[in-house]
Amino acid sequence: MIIFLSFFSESFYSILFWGLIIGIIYSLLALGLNIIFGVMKVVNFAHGEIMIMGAYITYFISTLLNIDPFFLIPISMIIVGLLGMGIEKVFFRPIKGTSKLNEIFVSIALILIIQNSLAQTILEVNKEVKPVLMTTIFSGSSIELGSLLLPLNYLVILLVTSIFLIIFYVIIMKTSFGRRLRATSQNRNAANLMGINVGRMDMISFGIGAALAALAGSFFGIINSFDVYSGTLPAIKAFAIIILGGLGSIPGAIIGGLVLGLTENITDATLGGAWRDAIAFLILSIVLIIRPSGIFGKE
Amino acid sequence: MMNDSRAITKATAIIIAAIVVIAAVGVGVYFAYLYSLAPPTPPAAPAGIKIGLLTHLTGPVSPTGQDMLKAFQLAVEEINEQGGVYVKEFNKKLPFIPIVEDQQSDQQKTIDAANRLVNQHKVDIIVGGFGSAFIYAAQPIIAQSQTPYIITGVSTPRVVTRTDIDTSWFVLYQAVGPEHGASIALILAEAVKPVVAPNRNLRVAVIYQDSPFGQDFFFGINQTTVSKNLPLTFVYIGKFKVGTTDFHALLSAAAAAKPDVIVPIGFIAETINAIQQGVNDLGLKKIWGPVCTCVDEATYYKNLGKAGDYSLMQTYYGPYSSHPSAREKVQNFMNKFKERWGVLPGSQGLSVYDAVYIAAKAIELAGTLDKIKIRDTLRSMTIDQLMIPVPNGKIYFGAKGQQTFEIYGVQLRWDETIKELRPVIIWPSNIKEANFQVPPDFQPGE
Repeated sequence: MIIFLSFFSESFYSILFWGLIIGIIYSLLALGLNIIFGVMKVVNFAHGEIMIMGAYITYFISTLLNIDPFFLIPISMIIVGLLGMGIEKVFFRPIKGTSKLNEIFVSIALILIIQNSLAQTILEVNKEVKPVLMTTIFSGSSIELGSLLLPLNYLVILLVTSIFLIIFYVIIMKTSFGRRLRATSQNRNAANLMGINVGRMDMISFGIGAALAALAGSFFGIINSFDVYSGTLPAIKAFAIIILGGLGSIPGAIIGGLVLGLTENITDATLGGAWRDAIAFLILSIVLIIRPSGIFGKE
Repeated sequence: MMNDSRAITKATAIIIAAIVVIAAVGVGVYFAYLYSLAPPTPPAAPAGIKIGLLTHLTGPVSPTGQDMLKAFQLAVEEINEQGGVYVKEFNKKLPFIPIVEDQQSDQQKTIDAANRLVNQHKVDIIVGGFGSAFIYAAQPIIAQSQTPYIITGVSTPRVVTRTDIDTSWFVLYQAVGPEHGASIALILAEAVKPVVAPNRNLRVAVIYQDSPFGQDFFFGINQTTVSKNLPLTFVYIGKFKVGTTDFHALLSAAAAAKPDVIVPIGFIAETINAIQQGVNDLGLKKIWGPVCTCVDEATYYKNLGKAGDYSLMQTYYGPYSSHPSAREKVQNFMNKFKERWGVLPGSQGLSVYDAVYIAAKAIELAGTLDKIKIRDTLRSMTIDQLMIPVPNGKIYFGAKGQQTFEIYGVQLRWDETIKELRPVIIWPSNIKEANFQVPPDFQPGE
């Protein structure tokens, strides 16, 4: 059944709001992926699994210490960020500059390693691998905005992410570290000649990307039930977003995420969930036909 | 004298020789006669009966697959502790030799796993398997090997009705999608409608997984509503992709159609997300469900939380409810499972546990490991109900190769003392423990 929503209806605003929320999470995930790609030119297919690793770290510490998940997200980001740096050093650095196929196979191997390690760990701790959901102090609380019900969890996620993205943008664009990162992204050889340790930049960018994935994963786990395998689909979408927004572009990842989130939700409500991915990828194709380098990509 | 004596000797020798020959023949005939009366020596017995399990040990479906594995191991251990299964052909009890192959949450991997079971391990019988599409794809290789298979984790009846392979090797021990769908429609019409909308049709929104699983369920709901002329009006029908986590837009659209009831049909994580997002995020004060039997696991009651208060489920077994006819057996099973594995079993585990006992019974009744005879026995035997409730308390696959089940409806209520949901049977009327309760803040559809 197709329901056409009138432009100013209650449902329309509701759908826009939820599209924005899911878009924000996509943006975070795509941003991390884009930073890794921008600096290292490496395609990390295991980004979704790193995201879920972040969600589980937040969940386990929260359960163990009985602390609200929101307060534990920075810890999860640090842990996953450090793990990300380790992954870069152990798995990606040795194959850097070799065939792209090697990178693809290494990241596929990482998917299996992370998934199975998480599954085995959870099996040991919980005796079974079942979906989990994090509850926060805001769970169950909402603010009414006219006819719209805005749950506090989502508003906090929206607020924190917006602040985080602004700070992140300032760091990348206005600080010395950001300049070095961008220089490495633009021309590795030139950056190297200018005295930038590009190897270290690779490691740091992978760490930042992983930490962003942990942030996205923790938010994902606060609003959805998740399990070891929940990262695969969002990661595929994150890839679509960075292509849509432009490979290596930070604003592209953010705008691309929001576009995808809104498109999916509007499609869900109008044409039905079965069309969700088809329409989203149709828009991706149209954008790429018009602008092959993506919305913010360089020609 | 010498000549006479030699002549006598010669005649005597001939007579003696004749007597010896006759005696020898007589003795031979006698022993042959005796031998013919003695029972034949049984053929050499194998070390055991190879029973294969198809399940998902890895990948997204592995949480369910692990449950199946645990139940399988428990059943095999129990049977082997009793000495195994008596096989008349060998005049002795043979233990089960369990062989487990991993479907890896993937269609091709399921085909590979089935291939290893039948061609490498050459199992005598297979049980389990989860996922309609996966098992459907693996069936040809099993049918070709002529190995009997008790399918437990498939919701489509097509696995026993398809015509492109010899389906006589398969029996289906699982309530199928249309059967589940029918019970959803009946619960809504008979238990919910009279209370919520006594003077009009019940307004129902259905959102279902866009897969053969979801389609079969919806087919059952729709077909039963039409064929039985049930007082249900479908005001919204929506689909979602497998693995969907964000239901806000779909539910907003469903809510815009002003339903009394929203029925989400999906796997456990999808169902939890849909109800939580609908209740907590969108504030939809509707009746939720009945949801799929497949979610009836301890995790569902724990993770759904208060959002699931007053929601409905159709089931034939759960960790906190069981059909009166099977309650004692189910309780024993759950205690043993919990003791052995430290967790409660899910409905798929229960089906596999039953299936191992059905396999044992079929082999015992067939009296042989001859696969054709086991297959024929599986389809012709009638045995007492195990744990899953069945009509008349008898398991009988028959020529259709399919068992039907006694499905019942429960309403979940929040238990403040344990801070979890617990089910109460509300349908059918002959076994109900309480009447359906309308949620206090319920907002009826228009």
